[in-house]
Amino acid sequence: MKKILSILVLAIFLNACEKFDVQVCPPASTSSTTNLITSEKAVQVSDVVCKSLNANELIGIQVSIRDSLNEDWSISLGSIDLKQSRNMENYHVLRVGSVTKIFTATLILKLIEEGYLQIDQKISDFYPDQENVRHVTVRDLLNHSSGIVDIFTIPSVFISASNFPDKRWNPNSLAAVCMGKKLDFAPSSKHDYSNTNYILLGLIAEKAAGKKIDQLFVEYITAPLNLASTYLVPYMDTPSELVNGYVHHFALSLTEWYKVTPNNTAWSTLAYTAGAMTSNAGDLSAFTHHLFKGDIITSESLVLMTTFSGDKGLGLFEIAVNNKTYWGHEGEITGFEAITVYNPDSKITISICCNTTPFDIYSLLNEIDAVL
Amino acid sequence: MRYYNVMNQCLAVLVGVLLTVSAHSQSSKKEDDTGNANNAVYASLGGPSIYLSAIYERHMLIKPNYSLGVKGGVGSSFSAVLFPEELSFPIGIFFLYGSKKGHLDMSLSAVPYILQQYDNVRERSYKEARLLYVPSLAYRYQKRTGGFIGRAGISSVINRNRVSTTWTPWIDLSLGWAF
Repeated sequence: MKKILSILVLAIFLNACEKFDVQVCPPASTSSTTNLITSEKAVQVSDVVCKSLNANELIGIQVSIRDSLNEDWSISLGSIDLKQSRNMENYHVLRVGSVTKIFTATLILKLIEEGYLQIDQKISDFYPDQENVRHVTVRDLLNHSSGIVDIFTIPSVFISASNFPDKRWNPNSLAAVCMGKKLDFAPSSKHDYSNTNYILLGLIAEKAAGKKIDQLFVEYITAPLNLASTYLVPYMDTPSELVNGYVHHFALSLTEWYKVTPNNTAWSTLAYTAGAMTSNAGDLSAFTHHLFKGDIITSESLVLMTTFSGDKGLGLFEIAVNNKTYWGHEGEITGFEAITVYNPDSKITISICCNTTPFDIYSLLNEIDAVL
Repeated sequence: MRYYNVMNQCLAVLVGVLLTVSAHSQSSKKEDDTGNANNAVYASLGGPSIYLSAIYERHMLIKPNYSLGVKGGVGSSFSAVLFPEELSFPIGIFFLYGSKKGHLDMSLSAVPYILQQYDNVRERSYKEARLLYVPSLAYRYQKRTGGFIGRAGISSVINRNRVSTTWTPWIDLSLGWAF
């Protein structure tokens, strides 16, 4: 009996141990400079990012800093996988989780501009049989004031996604389940973050425009801005440069590192238009820069988007960084962490993508901002 | 088509196990006469059943300090809240160690599982069959002569699939009756 138990414990122990070495960062002089990021600042930012990489045991990380003139300075450090087989490069693609919500909100505002939707339109126009949500509007979904239950708070969904990496959820079913539950609060009475709001917005965009969601993102956002690394996966083809993501000590895994491979569809189809986007730091900063410059939606739509209730705008948050105000969104999806923020005063955009969780990305954002 | 082929194989294995158990129960009548409970049914949360399930088990070999048997049943899925049609069919072997009421219960199950999938291109739902492996280690309360069964332990759901292999820590709780 003791022998059997010893073998069992040894097997679990060996399976759990995967060694990960400290990563050596290349000299910052290898990165080009811009008017904002001088060679001196490049060294400082690189140093800050390298320290964060090793202190947080991150596998790989990308940072892009774009100035008001659209000049981009980017750096990628670390590796694309746990085996440290290849260095992380600026062209590699990572999942960006809830940063997707800025894209979805932008798409919805674009559809409103084109007359497919109205900001205060009741979603019962699209879901007439769902009694619980008959007073919820498109605006309520955009600024998280609908009261609709967050799909990510249903434990069995979470457990199922952990166990079946190739699970493909039906967003219509997910939305129907949440709409079938009693609202957490009366619509417009308060704000509470719910991923289901943005799943519903994706479904409503399809119904209103009569096109598939992948077509809509390409037509209105990624093609005009030439965002070559930005895809809604798996609703678009999985990009070949998409890297693995890793969760360190994931609660629902016996292994030390829980791996999320490019063809893992469980988390992305669960998130749909609330979090299925892949991109990289360069694409994110380009999108964010052009969004606030007014290249995608009109200034009227931008005013709508940046009218904050508390800290919540439409697909955006007001984020305090070293006593400055940035607009943007942080995103976390199993194995990946990202953020993109824009400072309306300096018009500087900072975007960070990382293929490891957990990671306090706000700390790194604060440190980078302090250097700027 | 693939789904039905796998399901047919799983059903064939299940029928095979039940026939073996049935045949063995005829030949082991002598053991039954000793007063040992050879059969048990229990409701299970977690463990080889994955979520909620009904399990039947049959002791194949009973010795003074240990016993060995097979079990099988039907259960509902992790995401039963959303998809009640996702079913699991655990089939396994178990090993009980202990001569009185308390036993160390070790088991290994293969769990055919029906997974609800969605094809976003064709916009239709479909089902796929999967096979999970669930080793389990539990404490079991059960008198050898039968009666109430209580089990509590830990297990791991191992899913080796085309995307990655997952090892999920899991609970294993059961209440039932031995006869």
